[in-house]
Amino acid sequence: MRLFASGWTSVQMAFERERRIRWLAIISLPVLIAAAVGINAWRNIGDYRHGIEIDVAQGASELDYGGAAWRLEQARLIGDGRDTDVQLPGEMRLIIVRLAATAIDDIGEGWGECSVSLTDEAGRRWLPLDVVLSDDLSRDLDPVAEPLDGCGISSLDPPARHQSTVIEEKFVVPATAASELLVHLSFGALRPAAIAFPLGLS
Amino acid sequence: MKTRFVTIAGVIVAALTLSFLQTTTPPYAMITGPLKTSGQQGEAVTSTTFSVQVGDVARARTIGYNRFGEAVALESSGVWVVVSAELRGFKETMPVHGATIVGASGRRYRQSDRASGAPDVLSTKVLQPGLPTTGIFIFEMPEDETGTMTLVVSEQYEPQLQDEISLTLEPQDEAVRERLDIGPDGI
Amino acid sequence: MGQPDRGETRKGWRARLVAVVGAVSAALISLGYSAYQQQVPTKVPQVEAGAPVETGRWRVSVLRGSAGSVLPSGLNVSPGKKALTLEMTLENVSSESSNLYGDLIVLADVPDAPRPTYYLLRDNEILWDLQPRMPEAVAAVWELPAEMDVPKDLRIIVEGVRFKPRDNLYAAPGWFPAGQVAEINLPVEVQIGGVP
Repeated sequence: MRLFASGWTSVQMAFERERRIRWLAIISLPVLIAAAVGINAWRNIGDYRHGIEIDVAQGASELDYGGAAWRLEQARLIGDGRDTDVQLPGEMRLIIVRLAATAIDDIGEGWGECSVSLTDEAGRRWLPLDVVLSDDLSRDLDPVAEPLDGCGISSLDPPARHQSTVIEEKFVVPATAASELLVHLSFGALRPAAIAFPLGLS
Repeated sequence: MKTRFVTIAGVIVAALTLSFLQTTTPPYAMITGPLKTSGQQGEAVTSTTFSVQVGDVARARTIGYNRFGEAVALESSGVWVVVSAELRGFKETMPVHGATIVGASGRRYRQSDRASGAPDVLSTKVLQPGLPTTGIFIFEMPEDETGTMTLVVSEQYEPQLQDEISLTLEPQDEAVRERLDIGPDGI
Repeated sequence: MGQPDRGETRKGWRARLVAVVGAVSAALISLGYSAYQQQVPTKVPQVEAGAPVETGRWRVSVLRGSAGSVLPSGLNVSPGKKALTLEMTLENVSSESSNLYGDLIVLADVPDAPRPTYYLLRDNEILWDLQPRMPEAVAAVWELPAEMDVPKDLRIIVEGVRFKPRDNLYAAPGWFPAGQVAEINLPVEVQIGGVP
């Protein structure tokens, strides 16, 4: 009889333990699923933030960004016959933007995934022309001078500390938007932080 | 006995619920599919990011054009369908690489890579916000597929949660031309 | 720790028996299935050169093979290479334009063959998309080392694909490999000047 009773107790204990583990498993399932979804969402939000510019610094003629001091060196509006004789059809205008950077720090690979764009007050965004077209246009406008590199190529070989560089990007925009354009600059590692300068074209 | 019955009933109900959920889950392709807008040839059909207005549609057995100063003539076992269109981008600089004609049988004909070197082809252009872009799309398909045609345009092929514009093209009453020449400004 | 009662022991023993029988039968079924699959390749139908083969997405008739030094585009092959060219009629029998014919034909006797380049013989240029219901004369070209012996009688395997409206992972539509559908024996003509 003693034997039977103690046997019963140990079986019951094992059964209780199994039941507790089973409940734990069932209860932890929603928690784990929620955690998995949460972690995934967090990563996606992080990736998304590295793709957009929402924290845009502007207002000064020189801005520190990505280990360098940046200023707008030059902005040209081509196509209405005022700057050079070139007349572009209809509303089409070519904008050439030069940004100058003086390195304050060691930049290394800090300029990776560089993005330069123009925006207007309505939030429209123009991206630069591709490298081949951009260089062809540079040679058409000035057959002698060597075309300046864009942001993508310059980011591979940024200036050393206290050295300077100038990058150039070209855009095609409608004439009506030209007067209100801002040039934006951002790097992948620093986004959503970005800097912007008004082009001040009339 | 009663608890066993409840357990079995519970398992059956759970299995039925799960199989119901499984069979009614919308397929991945639908959940992440395109944002569709549709219209007719001639009207400007507008989505949030871009618009398409189809001008002319021409059919020919052979298309000809100049490439790097050399005359090119492309023949087809079916017909060439050349569609002229005006595109506008609204928000951001974007290419329009995806162009497909859904033919009379429902088969999908992507724009021809054979003719990708033709002048004025829209897939080589980029839409800039505020500047209308004109050009052509070139397709190759059997003649009987051109009875009813719908042009489907998007930034890339198989857009996921991006705009896609469908345009029903007018029926072709003109006979297929023997040859169509494509100049620097299209057709 | 005491002894469990006899009822519980019997129950535990029965559960263990069920588990063992289940595991053994699962192993046997899986073994039998893979043995069956091993059998399948020997049953690949032999097809005459020139006869159409249905592969799911493509209808292909392999017409002739040749080895030479000139590509269908008229250019010479890279130095130290030779071109093995298979001419065929290829039709896209799916519902949309496609260029996914790279895995269609496998050279059974050439180990580690590179991926072939397909040419559209109508233009003598590289083939991109094939449009549905528009069969074309095409040539598949393998660039092989010049010193490699290409068998006079080439054995070609045609691989099939199967359309699934919902795949197992995402419930997305797609084409999936469906094994070998035909084997073709083809004489290879050696061309002094290359391939016309």
